[in-house]
Amino acid sequence: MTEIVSFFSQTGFSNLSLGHVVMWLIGLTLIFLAVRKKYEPLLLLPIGFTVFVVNLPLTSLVGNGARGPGLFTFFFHYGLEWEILPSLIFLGLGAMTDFGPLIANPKTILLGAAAQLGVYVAFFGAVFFGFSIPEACSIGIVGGADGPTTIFLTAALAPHLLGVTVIAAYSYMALVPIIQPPIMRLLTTEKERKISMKQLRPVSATEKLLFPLSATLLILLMVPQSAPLLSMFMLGNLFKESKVVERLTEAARNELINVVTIFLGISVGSTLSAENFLQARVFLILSLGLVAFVISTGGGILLAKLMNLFLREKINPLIGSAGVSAVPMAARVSQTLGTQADPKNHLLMHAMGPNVAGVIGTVIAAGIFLSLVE
Amino acid sequence: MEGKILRIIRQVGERVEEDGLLLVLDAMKMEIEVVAPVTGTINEIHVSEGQNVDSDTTLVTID
Repeated sequence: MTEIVSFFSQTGFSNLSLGHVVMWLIGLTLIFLAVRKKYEPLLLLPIGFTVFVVNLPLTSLVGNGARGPGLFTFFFHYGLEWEILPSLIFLGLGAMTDFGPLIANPKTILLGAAAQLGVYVAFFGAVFFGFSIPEACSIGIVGGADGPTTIFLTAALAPHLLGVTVIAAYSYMALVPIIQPPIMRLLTTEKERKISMKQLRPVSATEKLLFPLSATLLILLMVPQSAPLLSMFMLGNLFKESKVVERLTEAARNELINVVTIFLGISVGSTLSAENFLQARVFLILSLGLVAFVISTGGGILLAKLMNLFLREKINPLIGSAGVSAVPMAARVSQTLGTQADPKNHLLMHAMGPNVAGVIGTVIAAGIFLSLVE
Repeated sequence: MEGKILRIIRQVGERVEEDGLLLVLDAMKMEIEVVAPVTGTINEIHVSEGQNVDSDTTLVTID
């Protein structure tokens, strides 16, 4: 009889809590969103399953079990605490990114900077609500709508918030086509939405080759703390634009980024234990993240309108909202709203300028936060 | 805009109104409807379905 009791006490059943069950539901919801709604499935699917499995009691996938650290703890430690996974994602992103639209119309870099406004507003908001400075940095960065940067910064500053901020960042990225259009319509007039922009000039291969080098030099001299992500990003881009290492470019933007995405999903999901996630502050973090994202969208649009006061060739303010770094979702939204106002008005490539500038802007914001805490 | 021609809606000789749909282009996983800038008759279609085009490629000539 005692053997049976002791066997039962070592099964998952006798160690279940309500918190575990709630986390299963959250994991299953993420899987549902990935499979049925196709919301960021590449990340939400592995995250969802990992959330489910780490909340099965006694599995020792995370933390210290009887036989040493769990499997997922190793992924988290080497992948995220050592900053390896987000940096490798950026290498792949660099190999995918075309800076052409930004080089052809460099003033759109300002829109990418203005769309980081929400990051700083949410930071002060979080401080106001009593979060510590490192926590507030991690919450603020959600407003940049950049997944890997959010992961990078939170892992460095507030690893206990990692699961929450990352779920927030990826949810808002997936919801870009729903969250942004009402704000964009509210802040622009019909006439502004109809502004037609001249086709971008062709950009030479030499300009594209020099861009990653000069941008690296300039940005790293200003914000050295952004080096891990930025240097990998620009190295990937140099691969692509050099046109001499086709194999490395393809590896970085296909196989490597796919492999890394799997480990990133597992590592992030493994931080979502019931104790970590089910606290009143989570709701506050998700709200602050959303506010940050909304303000960033507005910041880009309003700066475009301000610039139009001085520019002879007007900018369509709809491309301002693409300054958040959700590439290319935010640029697609600009395109959709542009053609709704005037079917001949194609803003997609114009919006890619602020969009890629936004990625750089969010990386710089992360660097500024890192230097602030150190 | 760089992309791939997904569908060609009109034929040579057809008359199109301004803003009438000419063809659908796939750029960055987005279906982009290319409409006629002017009212007129389609003189020539320079591209075929499945073809990749650059940003300065002439797609359709309208008289």
